[in-house]
Amino acid sequence: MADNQIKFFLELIRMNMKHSYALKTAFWLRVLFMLISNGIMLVGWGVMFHQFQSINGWTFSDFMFMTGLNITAFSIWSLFFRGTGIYMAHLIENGGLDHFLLTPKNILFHISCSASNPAGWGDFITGFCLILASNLFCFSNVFLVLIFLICSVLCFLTIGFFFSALNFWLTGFSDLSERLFYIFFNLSGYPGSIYSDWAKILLLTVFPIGFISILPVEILKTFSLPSFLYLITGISFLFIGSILFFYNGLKRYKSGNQVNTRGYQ
Amino acid sequence: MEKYAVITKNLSKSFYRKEHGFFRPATETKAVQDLSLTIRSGECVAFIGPNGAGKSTTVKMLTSILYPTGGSALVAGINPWENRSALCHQIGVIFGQRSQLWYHLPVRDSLHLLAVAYNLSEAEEKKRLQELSESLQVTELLDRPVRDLSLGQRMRCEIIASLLHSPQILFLDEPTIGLDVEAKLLLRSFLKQESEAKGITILLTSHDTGDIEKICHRVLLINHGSLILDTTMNRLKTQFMSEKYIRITHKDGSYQRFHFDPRTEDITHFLKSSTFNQVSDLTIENPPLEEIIRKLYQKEVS
Ligand SMILES: Nc1ncnc2c1ncn2[C@@H]1O[C@H](COP(=O)(O)OP(=O)(O)O)[C@@H](O)[C@H]1O
Ligand SMILES: [Mg+2]
Repeated sequence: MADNQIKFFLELIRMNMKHSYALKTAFWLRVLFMLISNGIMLVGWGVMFHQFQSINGWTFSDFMFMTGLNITAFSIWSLFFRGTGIYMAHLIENGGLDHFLLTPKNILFHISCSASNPAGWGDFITGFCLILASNLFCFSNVFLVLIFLICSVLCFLTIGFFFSALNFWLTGFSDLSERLFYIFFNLSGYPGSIYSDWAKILLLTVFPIGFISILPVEILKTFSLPSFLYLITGISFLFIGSILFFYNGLKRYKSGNQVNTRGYQ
Repeated sequence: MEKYAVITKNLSKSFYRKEHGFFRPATETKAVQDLSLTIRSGECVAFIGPNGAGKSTTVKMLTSILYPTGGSALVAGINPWENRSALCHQIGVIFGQRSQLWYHLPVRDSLHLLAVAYNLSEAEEKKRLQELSESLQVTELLDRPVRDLSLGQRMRCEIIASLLHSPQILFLDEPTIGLDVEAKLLLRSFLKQESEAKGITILLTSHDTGDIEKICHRVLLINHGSLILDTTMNRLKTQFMSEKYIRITHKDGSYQRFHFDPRTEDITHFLKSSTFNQVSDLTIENPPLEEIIRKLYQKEVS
């Protein structure tokens, strides 16, 4: 029953938000420090672009748009889908999926929507302002930007599902899977113009961060229908693939008898 | 309602572990081997066996958490691994060591989320929550965040969370871990009442014989993943230990205890030979369940 799934997920997201706001001081501090950290990052890039004007044809404004898209997508991931990544990886490793398997709602999204990082609000504000401030953004392409944003969130989810689900096969991998996720996130923050053609092929297939850092800006600068269609079909394909990968791993789930024990890796 | 709550046929589960390097064959642990059993709807069954016997593994397979390596099962007429969400509405599961409550939020919020997950209407939710929280005496805990609760208090709330959707079949894996005497008694009498009034099926594993004795009519003993014994609680008590405990109280307040086995000893001979004076009271008891189970386990080991 689709309507019941939707009602459940809205309620779940509400709970998740409430949970992340339960410790108010910590909440506001995390938002604040994320803003400061983003500010420092931007000053760095600003100085760089001031020196060189453009990097392989990308101006600071292009870069602002890309970073804005990247950070906004990441903030949506960390606010609403923080359950992919380390949380899911730990659940798989420590036998914590039991409860999720026993709830009659989609397990993958139930886990994904069960954690939230308040710092995401800091990212959300930064990213949103950057998109608005960029010259590439105007009100006639709001719809296009929205599609880019959705695709970028799907891209983070794809990477998150994939690295979490690896834990079904590899034991003791959970922290590494978080690290790998962040390597992808950090890579997606570099301007797409710096890569060679070969690198671009990789980044638009198996290491799919080009869907965030290359295609959107290029499409906005000069619209090309094939690129646009490739962006949408490519990311859908990868997204569905990562979901199938997860369900395939789920059959290998070992559960476990966790009580808090000694030993931390 | 289905006639059978649980049917399994040659259900098996092995765990594999790479012990001798990545390219060597994995070591196999046979947690459950060819387990075939049927449980009728409304039965209350205890699942006993020494540590590592395969009880939890069986429960996890029947509740769709683990995929079996062999065999088949039907729970409430449903194949657990093919139609998980239909199964979820029929079963309730309580694991002594797991949490389904949100750490920083009041218990009530977590319970509400579950009510939505199970498509309960607001009226149903309110009624069921009231019924459960009164039975388990947690009404005043509902508005406190989970992190502030003691283990026993949290366990009571976990139990409510597992029962909120009024499941037909209950799987309880060591449900009384961490509960105080009072809470244990509350839970037992609640389960008993629930099974009698609504005819729900209960499958219980516990190392607390009090739980077993109070709730279950049938006992399944498993060891090394196989079914060893399938009998009723009454037969278990009479058949597997014929020994009797006799306690004689004398008029001066002192007492003596004997235990003897009517199969091997002659009772008249026993009474004659003993030197009783001024007996004021006499009781004959069956050995406690704990003793019977201990003997059974010992027999298994040897
Ligand atoms: N996740 C797991 N991985 C490997 N072996 C396991 C796992 N869970 C249980 N086992 C093994 O399976 C056997 C049965 O365990 P379990 O079903 O938990 O026993 P119990 O009857 O005490 O509940 C034990 O030998 C245990 O070591
Ligand atoms: Mg167990």
